[in-house]
This record gives sequence, structure tokens and C-alpha cells, in this order.
Amino acid sequence: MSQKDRTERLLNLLFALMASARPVPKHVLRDVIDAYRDSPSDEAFERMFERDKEELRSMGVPVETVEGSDGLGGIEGYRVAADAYALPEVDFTADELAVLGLAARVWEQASLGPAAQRAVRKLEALGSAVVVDGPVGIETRIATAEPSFPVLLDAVRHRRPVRFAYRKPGADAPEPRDVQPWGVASRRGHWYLVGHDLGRGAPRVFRLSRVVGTATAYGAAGSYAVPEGVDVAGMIAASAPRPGTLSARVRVAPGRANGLRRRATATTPDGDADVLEVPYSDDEALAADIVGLGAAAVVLEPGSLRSAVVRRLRVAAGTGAA
Amino acid sequence: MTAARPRPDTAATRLSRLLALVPWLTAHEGVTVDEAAAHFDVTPEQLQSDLWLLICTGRPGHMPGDLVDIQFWDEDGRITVLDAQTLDRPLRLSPDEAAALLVALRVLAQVPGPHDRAALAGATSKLEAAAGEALAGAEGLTVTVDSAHDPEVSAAVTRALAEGRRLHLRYVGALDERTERDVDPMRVLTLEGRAYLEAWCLRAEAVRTFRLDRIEEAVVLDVAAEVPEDAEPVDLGAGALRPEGAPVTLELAPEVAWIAEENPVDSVTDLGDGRLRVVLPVGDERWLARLLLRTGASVTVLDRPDVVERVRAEARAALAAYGTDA
Repeated sequence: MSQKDRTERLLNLLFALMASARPVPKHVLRDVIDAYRDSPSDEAFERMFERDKEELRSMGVPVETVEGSDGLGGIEGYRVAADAYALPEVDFTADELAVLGLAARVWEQASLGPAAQRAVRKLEALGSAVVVDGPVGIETRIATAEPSFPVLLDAVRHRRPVRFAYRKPGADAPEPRDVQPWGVASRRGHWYLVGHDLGRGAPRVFRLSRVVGTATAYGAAGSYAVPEGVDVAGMIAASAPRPGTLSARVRVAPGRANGLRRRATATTPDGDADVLEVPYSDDEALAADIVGLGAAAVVLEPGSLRSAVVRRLRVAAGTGAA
Repeated sequence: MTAARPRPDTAATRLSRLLALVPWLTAHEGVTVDEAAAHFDVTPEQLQSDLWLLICTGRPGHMPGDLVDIQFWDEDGRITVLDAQTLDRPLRLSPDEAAALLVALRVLAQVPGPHDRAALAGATSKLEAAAGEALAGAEGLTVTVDSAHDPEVSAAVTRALAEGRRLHLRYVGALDERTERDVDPMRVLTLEGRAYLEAWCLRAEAVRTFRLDRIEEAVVLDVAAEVPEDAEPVDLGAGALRPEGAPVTLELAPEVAWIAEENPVDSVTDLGDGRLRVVLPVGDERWLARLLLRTGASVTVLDRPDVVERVRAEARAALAAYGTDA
């Protein structure tokens, strides 16, 4: 079946469903739509019709299933109410149209880009043009490079559990995970999935870049409920490392180590140089930052941090064991 | 990165265009085939083929009064909708479409910039009202961008852009060096969740991007900004943040796999056992040296012995500062 034939069939189905105020029985649809009438068997027609109905629904067409009044649970027919079909009138100001143009560009080259374009075309079909390229002095882009993004977003919407291989930082091999997705969120440029990890029986936060291959959804739609009041963004924020409660004294060369200077809670001049008080939480993490500065930053205390830096420097100098 | 366009139309894509096309043509009477094709980002041939398809459909029975009637064969190429049947109104938004625009608007509300906040709020509430049930599509999709920058800095940058004025910046670059410079602002960019000022830098005489959270001070000067006509804005496609410089090939142990996540990389190969081989573009060798100092034996440099030697020399110099401990 060519794309043109299928488009035509979907359009004729839509017209048939909108033409009547009363629900249209399936057998009538089969009679009045050429492509259905020509289908070779009842099964072929059923399959075609079910697929078309779902396709229309996924585009946002409100196809209503009307149950029979005989109380036997049978289906009387289907219909699309004109007022449920139509986008309500919206009257955007010129400035609002410019902002919508800016919003539509946010997903450019990302997986929601085509959806944003379609939304703009629908809004413009109301009569006003969205400003496509306004000189507004601002551009924002959200990338969705992770191949699992569309799968996971769809799973969140339809409440379908997902399965994927996940590589934890530092782990040798990926592990399989089964998760009921609650939300997909981007924080500071990284995408995360938050959900109930079925294997661990607890909520977990996953970074999409650590999903190996592509996630797959399984099971029926609506097969679990998202707990009331789940704060997806809050859970992701809480999973990030916290600022430290320890304090280090670091001597830094004049005009150097400006990143470290900005983290310091106090700066005391010491000859040409400065001594910084730097809050931190983990010797190894701060040691890595300080080693990166070479001779421009020298740890005075604590001793544990000083030894961590010296050990790392020996490795980097090729004179110490990793 | 998923390409947005060049795939051939699916039936759903085409139907979606047809359903938007009829009301748009109704609202823009007398528009030409070429203009309509440009608006819908298709060729004039494709648009004509869409119109042919439309006029062959309509209410069951397909009697003359049941069909969509559109006239588009006039010599001047103008299109007139004579009977739109029931398609005179655009289809309401699907959950995906509502989510795409609404989440984008919510992101714009978070990012610094000279955009009209009142218009943003207005567009958001009108769109929410129009989306109706499709609004549920935006549930479970959240985007938060970094707000680590100094609010005084973003206020100064926004004001300079709005008023077209020059800025004086005190800036700490990727190599930790502090510089002072005058710049003529062009745009506030938010990419990969982080805000940047794109500006014509009078010191470099070139377009430069400055991370907002690395601007220590921004002063709006009493001088009009003069961005040269030929100043080329940053291409915001994939790789906008890729440094311009020769790439280096590294092998990463599992504990430093974050290097491939935190930096724009040209390629990543899984070597098994959690080890990765990455090709990483490097803008400045000093940046690479610093990364290698930080990560020690967890990173193996495959193709730059000179940088390896430089890192060793820097480590030896730093060890000397620790005296007897070392």
C-alpha cells in the first residue's frame, strides 16, 4: 500500500467519522470507504481499520468509541465530534507569536522538532504567522542525542515498563534493568529517567547516556500508576553530589587557579600568592582538581588531601604506581 | 542526533500537513502554490500533489457537494478554497505537539536573555488553554537548565542586549586564566543546559562565546555596541560546542567514562570491560594537559607523545613544590 493510498484512506475515514452526528457502525465504514470495501477478508478489514483508528488517535484526532445501548457491551460505532476535533480559537499577540517561534526552534534537530513544527503549523492555520526568525538576541536548544529518548518518553506517557542495559559509572559491564518510568527530565544538559526499579524494588535515577543500546518498552499501556506528587526534578537534583563539609587550605600562585578561587570561602594573601579555604567532600575529587592545576596550587592541609595529591602527581610524572 | 527532516513523508506526516493546509489556505485566500509550498516546507510539486489528493476526498458518497473543492489551476498559481467540508478548522494539538511547545516555553522562562517575559507568560497560558487534554503530554517531561551564573551578570548581559550597548567583562576561561575585555553582545545562547553570551570580542576581533557562570563581572558601558556586519553567529546545529582543534585519541578506564559524557566527542568505541576509546577534539593543548593531570593512569593517550611528555614535566614541577613529601 502506497503512502498516498494510505493517506487518502485515513482522510476518507476521518470525513466519514465527522460527517455524521450519530456514531458510525464499523460495517457502514466498510461499505462507504473504497479501500475498506476492497479488502480481501474480514480479518484484513479489521486489521486495517484498527490500525487507521489508532493512527488518527495518535495524531490527536478524538475518535470516540460509542458503546451500544443494549447493555451487552457491544460497540455501536465511532465518531469524531467537530468541536472536539477543532483547535479552539487562540488570539496570540505579535510578541507572543515571536516567542512561539523561539520555542519552536528549541527542539531543532532533536526528536521533538517535528512535533514542534506541526504544532506551529496548526496554530498558524488559525490565521496568524508565527515569527520564524525574529531578531530577539536569544536562542535555546535542547538536544536529544540519546537513542532511548523517544522510547522512554512514550513509555512515561503510556505507563509501560521498560527494559534496558545500564552501565553504572566505574562498572565493568552493563546490567539489565526493568523500570516503571515516572518521568524523563533534562538537568544541566543531561537527560535522566526517573522511575521504580523493579529489580531493586525502589525508586532510581538513571542517566540516559549510560543506557547501552536502546531501551524497549514492554507490557500493556497503563500497567502501573505513578505515585502522587512525585518530584522528578527534585529526585535528580538529590542524586547529584552535595557540596562539601570538609575544608582544605590551598596555596595558589598569583592570577592562577581562578576556578578554585571562586569556590573558596576565604582568601588570605601570603607573599605574592594567596591561601584559599576551599570547602569539599571528597579527598580524591578535590585532589584531581588540584593536580590539574600543576604547580599553581599546593595543598597545605589536611594531610590526607596532600598525600592524595602527591600520589596522583607521582603517577602523572611516571614515577609512581597507579 | 536524530535528523528532523530528510526522511520521506509517512502517511501520518502527510495527513497532518493536509489537515493544517486546508484551514491555512482558507485563512490566506489567494495565496500562490509557491508561497504555500514554502510555508509548509515542501516542493511546489508536492504541494500540488497534496491538493489533488484533497479534492478527491470528502464525505462518503463523493457526490459533488460532498467533496473538498479547491481551485489551484489558475495561471497566476493562486489557490482558492471553495469548499473545505469539515476541515475548515485545524486539528487540535496532539500530546506530543503540546509537550514540544509547552516544555520549550517553560525552558525559555528559565533562561537568561532579553526575550519578552510578559509575552512568554501570555503565550504559555493561551497555549495551555488551547491544548486542553493534550496538556497531559507534557507531564513527565521536565527540563531544568543551569542557573549557576551570577544574577547581576545575567541582568547586565540582558540589559546590554536590550539596549544595544557594549559590555566590559571580567572572565575566567576554560584554562582558568582571568581576562578583561570589551565585547559587543549578539545573543544569549543556552546549549546543553548552560547559558553563554555570544559576542563580538574587541580584543580577539572575532565572535566568541562566554560561559555565563564564568563571567565574574559584567559592566554595561555607555557605548553603543557595533557588531560588524560580517560577524558570523555560531552555528547552533550539532557540534556547536565542539572545540576547533586537532582531535586526540584516548583510551578511558571505566572510572573516567565521564570524559565521553561531559565533552563533545567525535567518536566513542566500546572496548569491552567498561573501557572506551574516544576521539576528542581539543581546542587548546593546555586543556588536554590539565585533563590528563587530573585523570592520571585512567587515561591512555594513543597518538600524542608530545603531550604525554609535557604532562610528565608539569607533574614533576608540581611535585617539587611538595618538597620532602615527594
